Amino acid sequence: MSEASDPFKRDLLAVLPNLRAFAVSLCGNADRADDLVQDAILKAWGAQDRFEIGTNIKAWIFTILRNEFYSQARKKGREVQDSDGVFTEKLAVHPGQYGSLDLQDFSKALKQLPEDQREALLLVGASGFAYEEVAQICNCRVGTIKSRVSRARARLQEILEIEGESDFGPDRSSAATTLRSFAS
Amino acid sequence: MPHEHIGKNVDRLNGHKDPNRIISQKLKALYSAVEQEGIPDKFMSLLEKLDEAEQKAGSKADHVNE
Repeated sequence: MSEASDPFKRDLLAVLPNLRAFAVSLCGNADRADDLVQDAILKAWGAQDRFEIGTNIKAWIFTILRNEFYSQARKKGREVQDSDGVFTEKLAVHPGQYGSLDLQDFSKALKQLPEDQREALLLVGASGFAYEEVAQICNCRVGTIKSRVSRARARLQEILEIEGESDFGPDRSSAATTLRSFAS
Repeated sequence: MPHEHIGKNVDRLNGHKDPNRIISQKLKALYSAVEQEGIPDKFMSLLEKLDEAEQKAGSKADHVNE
């Protein structure tokens, strides 16, 4: 890795792995994700004069990538949502990208979520943003993000339970009873 | 028996079986699967080129940005 004399480049590099993981998880396709990341890098680089040093570069570049994602989806007339999972099987990631079967299942379940819920969950749950930052990135209210995240979680639990994910299995229903008996 | 119960419940109270906690763990595992690949060479060389182009432009402009 070349030395990071330029603070902008250094910050960009630091954010890149997480940004790429977001892109892959958001669009469920590694090639398309890398195209998005490349576009985001180019846009960010071109607009760096407008970026105020000391402000949140991570939120800024995530916003760029996210906007790019939706504008490309619109341009190409892609079906933005895949809630019934029709294309899910085709949009496979590179072989071996998610090593374990467990993660592949989880990734498939994630793809069944509506895009707005998926992105909110990813940004809060994996990219480490605060709700307020996610609201800025997605250009909506904090309450909207909170509700998207909680719907995403509920939906994921449903999907994974239906598909017999052991982690979500009988334990969950019994948890309430045992917890109640413990409390009383 | 009561001890076993307490143990399990402590687990739950700590979130070991909390579905939200499990989801968070999986999200992070998903991310780290991608992150572990590192930054692909094409992005490194792209940044390299952008940097070079900027430095050339910068030396012509003779520290205008300083």
